[in-house]
Amino acid sequence: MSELSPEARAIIDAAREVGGPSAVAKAKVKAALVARVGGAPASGGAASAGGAAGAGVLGGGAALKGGVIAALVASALWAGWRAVDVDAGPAAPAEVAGRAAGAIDEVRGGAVRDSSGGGVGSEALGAGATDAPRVEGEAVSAHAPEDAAHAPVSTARGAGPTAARAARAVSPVNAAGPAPIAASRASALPAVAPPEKQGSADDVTVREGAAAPGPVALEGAASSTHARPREASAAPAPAALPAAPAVAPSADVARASALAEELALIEAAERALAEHRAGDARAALERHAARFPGGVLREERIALLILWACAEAPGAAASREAAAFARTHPGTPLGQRIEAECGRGRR
Amino acid sequence: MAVVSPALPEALAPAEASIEAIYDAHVDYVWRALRRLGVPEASLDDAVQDVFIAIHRRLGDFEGRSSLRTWVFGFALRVARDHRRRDARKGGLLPLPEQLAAPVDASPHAQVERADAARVLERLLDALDDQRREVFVLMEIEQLSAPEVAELLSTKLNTVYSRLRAARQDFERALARHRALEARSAR
Repeated sequence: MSELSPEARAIIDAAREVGGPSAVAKAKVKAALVARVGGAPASGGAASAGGAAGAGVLGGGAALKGGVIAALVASALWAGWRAVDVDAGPAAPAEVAGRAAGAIDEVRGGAVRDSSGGGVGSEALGAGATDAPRVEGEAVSAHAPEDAAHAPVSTARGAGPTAARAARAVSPVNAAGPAPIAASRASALPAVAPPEKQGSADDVTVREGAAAPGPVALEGAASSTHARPREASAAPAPAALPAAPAVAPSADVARASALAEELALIEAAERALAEHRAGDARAALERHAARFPGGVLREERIALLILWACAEAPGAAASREAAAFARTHPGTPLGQRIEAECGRGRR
Repeated sequence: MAVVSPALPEALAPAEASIEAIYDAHVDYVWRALRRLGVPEASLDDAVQDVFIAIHRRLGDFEGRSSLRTWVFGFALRVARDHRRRDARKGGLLPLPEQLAAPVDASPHAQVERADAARVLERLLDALDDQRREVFVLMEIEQLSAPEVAELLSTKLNTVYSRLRAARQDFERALARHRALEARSAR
């Protein structure tokens, strides 16, 4: 049988591992999947956390967003989905959050600026592959030893709050106000300057890395003493207590809710950009920057902000930042997208 | 900082595994395979879901006669066929950049090269008819054995080899055409 030429073989070998899902896409589909199957062990049935909603995701999914977001919450509740932070060990949620503070965004006056070079965010899009699971890992780690015993209970009981949180998460009004998770999460982060104003492209600065924290604390940032009890309350009840609704894994729910909220904001910005609603896009990105400075979808936010600037204020500053982003994220989806879209604007 | 994602060892009885664990262990290659089997970009996420929903429903049927990976490919094949049929009349959408994420464990230069190779590969695969494409993807890219592919496709081993031979020829012709067009546009 004729063999492939060396050139054909080289193409296949080089491309073999390319083309998998981005971390965001993977998380979205997983969430939708969980919503459809109910997050149950494959061999058994379980209550559906998100109903029969399918996957409505960026890029053309088919399901209701509510289902996706509800499923994000449900999936965090489900003990089977975990990622173990090897360095941190299993029981240090506050430490994990603290490390996430390595990257801070500020949205202020000036040109779009990306000085990423360290911290969590420097892993760029590729980091997304670990970022998304890491959130769940953090959530699970607080009570990993008893997950197996409590997961089914948590899932079943989580269905109610899940739906409620999902509904809140997609509400832009709600997104503007701090949710409990934002408070506990922000408490572990350095203070972050919120957007001072919204307006022209000249107002946008994206500064990455361990910049000096802004003087204004994130709205709703709670002290760590507030955050800790929330984490503690996530510890599961003893297995001997069959009715344990009072000890639902609130930290899990909260983190999943935060992720759902992040996702909603990023999706809103993406949608607004696609529909040329520049103001809405900018507002959604600024809300994300204020609420989730070191969020899982931070790289997406920066990229969208640069895309926004390229579209709304094309010029030397936007081009420079786009080029810098593309250069520091070569071969990544976001880098390619910025290169394509901002490059098109320059031509 | 290293993060270890959950893996699903082959030894673990799938019926005892959560669908999340199965998803985590298999989604990357399922996603790639669906794309290479011709599922349009806009349908990829739905197709991936469909694969894992089907797996979820049929886990009890897995007997371990083939590897779990091979078994999973069976679902991917069927779902890809369904989606190709369903989406054929819609026409393909332009691929989003994020759909060609290259692994980031390589140098930036290598990442760019891999992403380029992936684009070329997908263009070349589009030149193959569906039957040849399936065999080519499963054997040349996913590196399944001919007997495994024969079982997956419920066809004879000779047929698999025959399709592979034809697919390789088509692929080489498509590559030559691609290079020629590339050279012309460079002039």
